[in-house]
Amino acid sequence: MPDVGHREPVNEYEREPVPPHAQLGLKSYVGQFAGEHVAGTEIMIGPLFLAAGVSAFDFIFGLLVGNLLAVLSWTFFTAPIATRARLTMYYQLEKICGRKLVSAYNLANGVMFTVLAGAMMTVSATALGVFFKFSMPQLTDTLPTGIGWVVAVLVTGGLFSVVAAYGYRFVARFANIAAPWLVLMFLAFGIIGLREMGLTRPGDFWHVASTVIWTGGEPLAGRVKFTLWHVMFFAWFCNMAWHIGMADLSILRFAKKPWYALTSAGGMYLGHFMAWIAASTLYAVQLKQDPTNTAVLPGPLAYRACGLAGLLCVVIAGWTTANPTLYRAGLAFQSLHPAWSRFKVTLLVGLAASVSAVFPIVTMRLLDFVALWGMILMPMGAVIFVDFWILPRLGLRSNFAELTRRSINWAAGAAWLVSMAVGTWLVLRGGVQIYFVSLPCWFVTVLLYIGLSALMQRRLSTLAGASLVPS
Amino acid sequence: MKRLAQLLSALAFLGTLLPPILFFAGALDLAVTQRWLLGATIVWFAATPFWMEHRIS
Repeated sequence: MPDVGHREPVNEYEREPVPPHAQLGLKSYVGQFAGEHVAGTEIMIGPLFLAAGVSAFDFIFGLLVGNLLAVLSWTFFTAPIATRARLTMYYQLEKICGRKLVSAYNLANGVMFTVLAGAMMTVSATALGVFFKFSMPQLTDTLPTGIGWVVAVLVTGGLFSVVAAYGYRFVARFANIAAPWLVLMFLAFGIIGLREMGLTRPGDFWHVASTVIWTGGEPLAGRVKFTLWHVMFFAWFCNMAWHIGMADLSILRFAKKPWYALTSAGGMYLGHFMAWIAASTLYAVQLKQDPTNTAVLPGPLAYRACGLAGLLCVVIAGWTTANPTLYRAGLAFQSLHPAWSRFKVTLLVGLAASVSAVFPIVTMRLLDFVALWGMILMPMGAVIFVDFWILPRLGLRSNFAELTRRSINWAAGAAWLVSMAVGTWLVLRGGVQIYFVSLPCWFVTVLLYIGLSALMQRRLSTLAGASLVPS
Repeated sequence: MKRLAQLLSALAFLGTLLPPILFFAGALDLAVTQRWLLGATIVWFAATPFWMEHRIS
């Protein structure tokens, strides 16, 4: 999962293409992706793979391929549009969909960011449990486990919220300083975890991995069994909102060349490969020491391996992820009513996130939540893809809302809503698991947006007798 | 001052990287490894702010 740390409000060129003199070289992108994808969520996600009964081959090969697909998605979906249009995702979307539809997108984005920030508060609160010994949630818990847990989460959430509202930039700088240390700490988790699992020589890695750690047995109670396909699609789609969903247009629009997006491999293979494997190994150590202890609690997991430094890692990773996430959620909601105070909106968002964090269901179901996020936000990326590449080739006009001065482009709005409805139906009734549903939904959105745009633009041309649709 | 901070950060970097490797090799026990990690963490956060610039893209 991404730490959204780099996504600060970009005050320059928000409503115009990035000019050549402001474009950035390759060096600016090396390290950026690496820093942002080693986040607090990784400590939670890694163990959930093991809880899903994944085998070593499925886990490691699935991550290798899935992360490669994610890198290719940034490189061949996002970057070519970003370096041609050089607009923020929001402005490009506004030109296509109209202001009201962008507001609806921001609302959805804001809700997802709020819930993610809540998950980070949950992760950090587990570190407090190591010292205060209150009852913490188990893997199957959906409700708060006691007053100690509620107080710990609300105190953590309150502190995170106040800091995000007051001192966002301080934490953003702190996150920058912490990034290399976080990578090393995850590496330490992995090395110590592997040794604790009985690995003494690097050459025995595969034997230990496949026979002791990721043995591929039955999943834990209430979890879906993960296969190669689950791992691959999860690794590919967990950042779907950013690559295929086009949110990273805002970042890559500064790149001089589209291939700079290949630097996303740094983030994927450090954060979504090394860090997930390391965190998963810590959970294997816990299960080896006490097979009945199936709780996925980052605080105790990290403390067992790395002591106080491990606990600091959990708190700092959670904090530096929650901070920009709260900030972005605040911005998304504030965009609905620009007169609102960002400070107050961020505090309110923090309060909502804190309340959601008290309920461990989202954190314990983080894999499902991340997949749901992709399903909800991806369609707007498909709309941008079609509008940029396909509509002109079909003789249709791009940027329809801007062209016709509409506040809603109903072709895009209907494509989004129907795509989400189809995805929901496929998951609830069609037997398709949430991890896979975004792939058919992308095609649904593409076909719908093309068809509805053709209908709408030809009808308007006929009514107006104008050349809205060039022959 | 900046050079000294960079040197301390480099040492902290090694102090975070090497103890787990030595633990893996059987040269350190876990408690000592954890103490090294904590010490290196403190040095990293004390020294690095003096030289690392904050990039905002």
